[in-house]
Amino acid sequence: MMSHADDVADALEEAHFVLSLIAQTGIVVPAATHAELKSLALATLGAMQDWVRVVEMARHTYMENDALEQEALLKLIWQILYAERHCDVLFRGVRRSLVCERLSDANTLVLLTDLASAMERATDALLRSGHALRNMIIQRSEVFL
Amino acid sequence: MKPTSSPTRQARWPAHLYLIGDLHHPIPADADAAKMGNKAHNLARMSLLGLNVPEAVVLGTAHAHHPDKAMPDLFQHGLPALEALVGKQLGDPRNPLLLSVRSGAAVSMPGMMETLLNIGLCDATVSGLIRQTGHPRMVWDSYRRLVACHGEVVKGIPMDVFDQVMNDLSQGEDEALLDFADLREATRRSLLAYEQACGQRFPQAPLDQLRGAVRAVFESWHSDKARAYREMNHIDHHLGTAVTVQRMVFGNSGLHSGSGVGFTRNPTTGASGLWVDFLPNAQGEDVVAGRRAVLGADALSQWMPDVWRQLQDETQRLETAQGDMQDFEFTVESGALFFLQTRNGKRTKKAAARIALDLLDEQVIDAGVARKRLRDTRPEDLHDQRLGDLAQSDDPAEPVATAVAASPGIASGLVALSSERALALAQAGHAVILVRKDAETSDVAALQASAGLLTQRGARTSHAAVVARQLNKVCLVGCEGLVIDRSGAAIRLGGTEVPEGAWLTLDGHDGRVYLGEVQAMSVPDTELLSRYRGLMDGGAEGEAQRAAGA
Repeated sequence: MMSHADDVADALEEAHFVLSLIAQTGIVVPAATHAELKSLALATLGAMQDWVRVVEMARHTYMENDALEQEALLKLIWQILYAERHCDVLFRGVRRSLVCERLSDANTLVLLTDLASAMERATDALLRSGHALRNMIIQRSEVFL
Repeated sequence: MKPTSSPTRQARWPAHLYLIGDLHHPIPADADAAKMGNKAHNLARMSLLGLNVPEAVVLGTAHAHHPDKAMPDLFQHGLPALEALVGKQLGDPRNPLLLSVRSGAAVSMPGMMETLLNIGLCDATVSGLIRQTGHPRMVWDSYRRLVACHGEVVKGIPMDVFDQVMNDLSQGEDEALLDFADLREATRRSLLAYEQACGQRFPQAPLDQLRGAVRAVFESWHSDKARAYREMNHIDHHLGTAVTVQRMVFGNSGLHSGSGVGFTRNPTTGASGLWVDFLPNAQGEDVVAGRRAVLGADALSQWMPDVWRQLQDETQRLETAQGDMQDFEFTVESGALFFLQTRNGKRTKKAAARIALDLLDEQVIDAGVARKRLRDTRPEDLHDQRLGDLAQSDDPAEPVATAVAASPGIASGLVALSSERALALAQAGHAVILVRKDAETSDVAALQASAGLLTQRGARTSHAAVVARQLNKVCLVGCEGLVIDRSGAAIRLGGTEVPEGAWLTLDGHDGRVYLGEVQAMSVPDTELLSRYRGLMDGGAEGEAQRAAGA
């Protein structure tokens, strides 16, 4: 779980780095692409918050012998799964908008694609980390119940 | 599922204690704004209409002069009923109930009395709030603010003590750059500073926090500034304030949450249809402070279609019940819509005319009320300022940027990048366009002296945009193509550099920004003028007939 969580941090650091490059180079982001990127960033942030909630729930021992707690945790993990799929769709939306804009500047194309890709990778790793945590909780519950 | 009634509520419910949100025990009919304060009364009205408001218990104004006598009512009846209604308990480490404690008199006294937020947050409940929101930075920031606010308001500790904690940590950098670990450390140091300053530990028992907060908010009615404000505005000192203890809701609890501000009709033109600014995964302050670019109705309808439909239905009901266009604030917490506030919306004179005439046609108000609302309106108020016919010009102006139009009209003036510069230029007799990154209310004096306001960020519903509409200033917000270079005393609009002091023109109708001074012309809105005259002339004829008959 920690290894996957580390992958999340790596992907977000990469996104942050690309974002700083975009700011430094002052490239102009087309409005349609900007809107798609914004949706992807919001979806990634929402999935991150759900993951933090899951970790905070799992930190406490009352999680392990309380069916309602486990149900709430599984619901959150389901939301993370949904977010990962949603981010796949949004990532394709960014790529589609870049093609539709017929951009000729290589820097713009590369940086915007890298940014979207890094965010999408973060949600992939979030999902793997969430699955690992779910397995851990279920295993422990079997011992306690 | 949320309970609709409080099982602990007993038949012998104390006088001057009001529970908002209990559908089975509505507020008594004689509980008016004088008894429960204006804001609480509005909340109760919304609740009676079936709108979802965060549940609250109100200690009436009758308690204002003897707050200690209100405490048994609050702790034996009010709080247990509130907890039952919400389905959460104060101090629960897993799923804590957090409360705001607000003043509220029958007349508005903005900023004169105290408010405490996040009562119930303590070492034991921090984890529970992180579980609810998934937002550790916000949680630790809320906790350190509660310690500071409780210290200042309840214990009289100077705020400088807590500001110093933040200064030491931020080392001159922007506080917004502090992460959750920094803010956790800020909380730890604030707790120490609290103890050192007053000789007592910050109360870790939520009930003690609440008791101190309620007493302090009641006492804030007697503060020097509140007393001075009442004397200035001829408000009776004996009225007293009510205290509202309300469940806190969090719009920043993830993807299915958000906050927004809206008007039931367009406050600029008066056109029908919801006018909404919304931010997913954000608190209300983020929307009205104007520091983040907000989304509009289209985004909300795509993001949360069920919430959007509910918002449309319920605000329509609200407007009909209140008989006027409403300015409302709402929060969505994990998919549930809550109304936080409603009031008659501020509007331009033209919007006021259209709204009154439309409400008359829709039979929400009668002709007498419509005429009363338009008695100060003159026909020339129903003219639009429009740019001259650009196509006919030898050298037509080209727009260099587009922003969100927040207040209509045409304004040309010299670019000023600070309040000081705007005031100096205005004093020298120049027309001024104030250009700012954010729309902040501290710019109000400069805005008053300017012809228009252009901001890089912000929303149509930000405080400063509301003020601009009230002052009849042209206002464009959220100009994404705008870059401000304060040190270079210039702005960049798209690819064009514009130095401070150069001419700029704002079109408050379509949000376009032009270089130079572009001529404007006055265009009458003939359709609206005709309806206005029909109403007002009808009134005059009726009066003449009545006079002749007499």
